[in-house]
Amino acid sequence: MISQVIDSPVINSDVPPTDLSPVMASLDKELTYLADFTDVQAVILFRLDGKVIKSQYRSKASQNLLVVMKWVKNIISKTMEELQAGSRCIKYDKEINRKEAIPVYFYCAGKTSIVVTILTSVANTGLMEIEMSRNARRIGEIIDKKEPLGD
Amino acid sequence: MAVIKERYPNVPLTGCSGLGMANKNDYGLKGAGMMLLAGITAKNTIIKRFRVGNWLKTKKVVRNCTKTVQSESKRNSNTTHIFFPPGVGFPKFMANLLNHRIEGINPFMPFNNRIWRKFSILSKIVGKPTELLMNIAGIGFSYSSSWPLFTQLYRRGIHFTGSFGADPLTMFKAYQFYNYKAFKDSLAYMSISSPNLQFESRADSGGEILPDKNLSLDSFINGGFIPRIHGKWGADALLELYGMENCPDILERCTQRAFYAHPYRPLCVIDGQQNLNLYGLIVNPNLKHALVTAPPQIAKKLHSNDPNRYKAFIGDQSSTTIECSLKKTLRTLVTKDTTFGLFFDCANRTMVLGDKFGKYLENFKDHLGKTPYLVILSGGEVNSQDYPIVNFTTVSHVANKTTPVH
Repeated sequence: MISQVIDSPVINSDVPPTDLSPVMASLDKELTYLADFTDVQAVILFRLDGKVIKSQYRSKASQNLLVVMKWVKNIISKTMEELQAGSRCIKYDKEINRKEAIPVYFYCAGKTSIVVTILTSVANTGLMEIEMSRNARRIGEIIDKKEPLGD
Repeated sequence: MAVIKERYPNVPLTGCSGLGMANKNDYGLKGAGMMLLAGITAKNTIIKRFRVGNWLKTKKVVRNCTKTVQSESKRNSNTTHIFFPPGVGFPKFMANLLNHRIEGINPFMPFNNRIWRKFSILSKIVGKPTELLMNIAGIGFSYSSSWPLFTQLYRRGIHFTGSFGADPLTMFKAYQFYNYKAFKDSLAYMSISSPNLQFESRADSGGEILPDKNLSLDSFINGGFIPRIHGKWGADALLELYGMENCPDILERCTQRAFYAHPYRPLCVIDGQQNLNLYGLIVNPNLKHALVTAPPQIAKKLHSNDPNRYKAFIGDQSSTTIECSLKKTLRTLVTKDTTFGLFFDCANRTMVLGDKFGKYLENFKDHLGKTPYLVILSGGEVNSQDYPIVNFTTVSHVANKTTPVH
């Protein structure tokens, strides 16, 4: 039981998910779904002006993740320009050291937000791309319609 | 399973764990999908521990399938079989070693000796007992144990489709489902008969042959090891064919991320009937041999010494060719009278498609409309129309209403 608590993703909110508004709860559910994959280290939802709406990350995350997250914050404004120009997705391999490179994916979610997913260095990117693109589409639907998804 | 049992208590249920699934509403790697068929005669069977003593169990299954087909044909009823053979799985420790995730340990060190290249007799001494032990322990690919069953059904003209299960992302263990229970290393199958339905299936790979890159194996060891190709170490020769010999970094990264090194160049095998069958070729940075996912029964025929050998080439498969092949299949099979569709799609194809997978699935929606369908991402496909066991392929199975004869 203790290990489950430690392994569960950390959420940047003090409000329990049940007390959130239906839209925020629906967003929370989508992000948790993606963050629960073992290959995912962190999921961050950015607003178009570069502010973080929600984020989830692994509690066992190493210092490397903090380095990548800081880099993501620096680069997000440039990435937004690219995504607004019509790119479907932007992928970076952020090199931590000579041996390790962490894949970072930027997906356009609706008209006003961006989902950033930081994977582990050994993640199966081919299969995870399927899940990330689906998740970004669903988050986009929630944000654009300002309504929770029906299911 | 408990939830399904509560809601549908008396339904014969058959299935397997897959790498992902999709229907007309949604898709994903996690989750469960179920299709309920009404107005048909269905009979499901489970053969436990199918990988051990499979020749006796094969006889039993073939006999049962033939009986069902004969008895149903007397009633003017069409029959099809959907098979879920033992799936693909590696224990966690072995998978980590194959992924090169443990520093300083080379699991393939004993295989890197030149002796394997020079003495092909070793393949018989070591290969078969290794394969037997793997079958007893339920480790690795189970294609060799399932091959006799599907070739016999294929020769008898019995209609079947099916999928080898696999664990999503991790590839640790696959399960077969039979009447609300899950089994390991078992063969679950369902015989479906109906006088009003005509079952049709088709296998399409979307692969293209690269004619200048032919491949003839100099030697082969059971378990998929290829020590020598064109007089060189298997891995070296294969990388040269790919044009990847000077980029070890890419190879290392592929190995870690996609379970094994896979540059998405399949092996195209042309058999005696000119069918094009696709299989996976693998290179691991720890190993000097190349690896092939084809059943040993096929790989043996790729020997240059075999007089009845098949032709083999390195192929190419891209998201465009995959989508085109699917469109062609759906145009051919789906009609106004289609009542349901079942599709077994290789998980390797989805890795090629990546985030275009959502767009790829729209083809199913466009062609099938309101007709219920289920797409299962599998670890190997089985079908009676092309060659029995294939990789990198979509096996499409649809049921069309038969027009009454007056």
